[in-house]
Order: sequence, then C-alpha cells, then structure tokens
Amino acid sequence: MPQAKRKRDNSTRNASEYCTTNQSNQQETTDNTTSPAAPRPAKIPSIFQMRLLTHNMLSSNIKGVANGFPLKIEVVKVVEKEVDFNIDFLKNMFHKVEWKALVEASTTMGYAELPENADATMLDSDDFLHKFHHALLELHLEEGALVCPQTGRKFPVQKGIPNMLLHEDEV
Amino acid sequence: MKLKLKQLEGLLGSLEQFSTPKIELEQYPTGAHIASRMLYTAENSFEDVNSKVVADFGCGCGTLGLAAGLLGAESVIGLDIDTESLEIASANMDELELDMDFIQCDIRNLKRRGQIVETVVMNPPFGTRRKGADMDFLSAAMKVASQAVYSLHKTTTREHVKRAALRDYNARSAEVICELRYDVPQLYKFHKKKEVDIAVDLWRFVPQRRQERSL
Repeated sequence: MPQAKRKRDNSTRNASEYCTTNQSNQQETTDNTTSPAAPRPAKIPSIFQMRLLTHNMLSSNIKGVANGFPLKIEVVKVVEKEVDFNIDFLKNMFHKVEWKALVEASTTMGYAELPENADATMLDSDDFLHKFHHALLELHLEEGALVCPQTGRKFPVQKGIPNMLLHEDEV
Repeated sequence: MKLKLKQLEGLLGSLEQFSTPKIELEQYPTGAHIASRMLYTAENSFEDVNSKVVADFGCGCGTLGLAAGLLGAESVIGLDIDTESLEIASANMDELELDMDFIQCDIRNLKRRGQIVETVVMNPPFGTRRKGADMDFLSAAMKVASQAVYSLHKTTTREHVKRAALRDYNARSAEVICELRYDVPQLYKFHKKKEVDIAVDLWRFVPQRRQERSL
C-alpha cells in the first residue's frame, strides 16, 4: 500500500487512520491524499465582525457579578454586511435569543426596527423575519466596548473581537 | 453543493499555523487530516454542523471552526485566550472567505447563558502541562452545547474522560467515534524526537436537554 507510506511522509502535523464508526474498526483504512487541493480563493480585504448573535450569548464574567447580562454596548464603529437568509435557522434561533437584549443592542447599534416584544406567531411574517435576520447577523460591532451592567467595567472590542479576559482580582 | 472530504482537507491544508507556539497553552496545530475527518463525521454521520451554530473552544488558528464553516455552519464562534492565535485565525477566515466571530477569553471563566450553541468542536490542551486543562474545556463545552460536543483526548485517559463526562458534566452519552494518531511535530525544544505519535480518541458527547428558555 504505497499510498499510506507516502501520506505519512508528506504530512508532518497530521494524524492518520480514519474510521467512520467504532473503535472496533481500527484497521488501516488509510485513504489517499493525492487528489489536488481545491483552488485557493482570492484574498479579500479583512472584515472584522462581532454580530449581535454573539453579543446575545455573552455575559460579564467578573467574580461576584450576579447580573452580568446583557452587556451594554459602546459603539465606536458599526459595519453592516449582507449574509444569506435562512428561515429555518432564524426560527430555531428565535427560541434561543433573549429578545429584549437583542432589541436593546440593535437600537444602540443604530437599527431600531425590531418590535419591543415578540412571540412565535410573528415568525410567519416575512417582514419580521427579515428584520430579525438583519439585527442578529448583519450588524457588526467593529470597534467599541461591551460594558458590564453591574460594575461598569469595559471589555474592549477591537477589530470585531471582544476581549473578555479578566484581571487577576476579577477572577 | 456539498464538499467532499478531500476538498475539505485540501482547503484546511492551506491554512496558516502557529508561527511561535506557546507551550504554556499547549498550542499544537490541529492538522488538516484530523480536522477534516472530525468535522466531516460530525456533519455526515450526525448532522451536527450544517445550518447550526458552532463554537470552537480554544480555536487556535481556527482550523476546526473554519472546517465547520466550510461544511455549512450558519454561524461559527471561535474562542481563544491568545491574541496572536486570534489574529492568525482571522487571517485564515479571510483566506477562505468565511464568516466567523471571535471572542478572546479564558475558557475557565466563561460565563454562559444557557445552551445557545448547538455544537462545540475542540482540540483542547491535553493537560500535560497543566493538569486538568482538558477537563476544564470539556466541562465548559458541555454547558453551552445543546446538541453535541466533539473533542480530542488522549486515549490513555479514556476511562477517566467517560466517567467524568457522565457523572460530572451532565452528559447523556459519551462515545468514542474513532481512535486517531496525532502526529506531534517537533515544535518545542524539550521534544527530543523529531515527531511523536500520540493515540487520541475522537469523542462525541451528547448533553442532557435542558428546558428551552421561554421569552
């Protein structure tokens, strides 16, 4: 099985042996890795992003903080970016997001189109779904901060990456 | 159009890896071979990736998260403590023209808000430098995933991992999907051999369902 040897030779960092089901199937099912790699996509300029979907999951993690959610948003720069619309995903996410936090965050980011209150019956409305989609996935905080609602401690957001690392006395 | 395993591996093989890995964080690159198989199995055997929210814990250069993105995850979030890793991961994201959100945080201090992601994928530190690091990751992952957690652990820890997952981390099931060889290249000075094979298990953990939040 010359293929197997070859593979081992040209991969310095990869693991081998793959079996689809159980550990009972540990025999060498090594496949060949000789097919050409898919073409590389062209380089595009960086888009830094933090969506409100991510914001909706984050909570202040400082020791002793009981009400760390939702984090307030300080906006320096917001970017918008179009993404594909996926109804099933939105319907699923609707039951997972904290609606009030999303409305508040979206308003802070300059998009005030979401209704104050929402229930599952609204998922039949195309208009509602598109607004929900835009707020959840297309609004990005590029520069700014997330602020702990209880202590006012700021977690900086730079290049779309929130820094939630704590100082020693906060752990 | 669905990606084939070979195409996935090819794309991941083009990604940039750690230039100066940090031993205290046990930074070892997740190879394209292992990463492609991990995510391919998650999608094709269990439907845990496509249209899902996927988090990559300790994402490093982003290989596993980006693999999830390539297989159609609706949203991918990479978490890592290390600035440099996140920069490389961002560059890799650009290279593949994918979207991925990143959060810089210490997995141990992650404050969760319920099971908001469906699937967590990770190649955690094996806990050889700081004992228990692997279990810290697993514990945190089991708290945020609603559907499945995929993780790599040394085969020598199999019994321990299983026991801890079922007893302490609220797992409904903990299964070794397959055993893999993890080729650790000579990255650090203390490595005496050029390359070492470690036997690792690819695990799939299923968390207990919790009540869904009502609005």
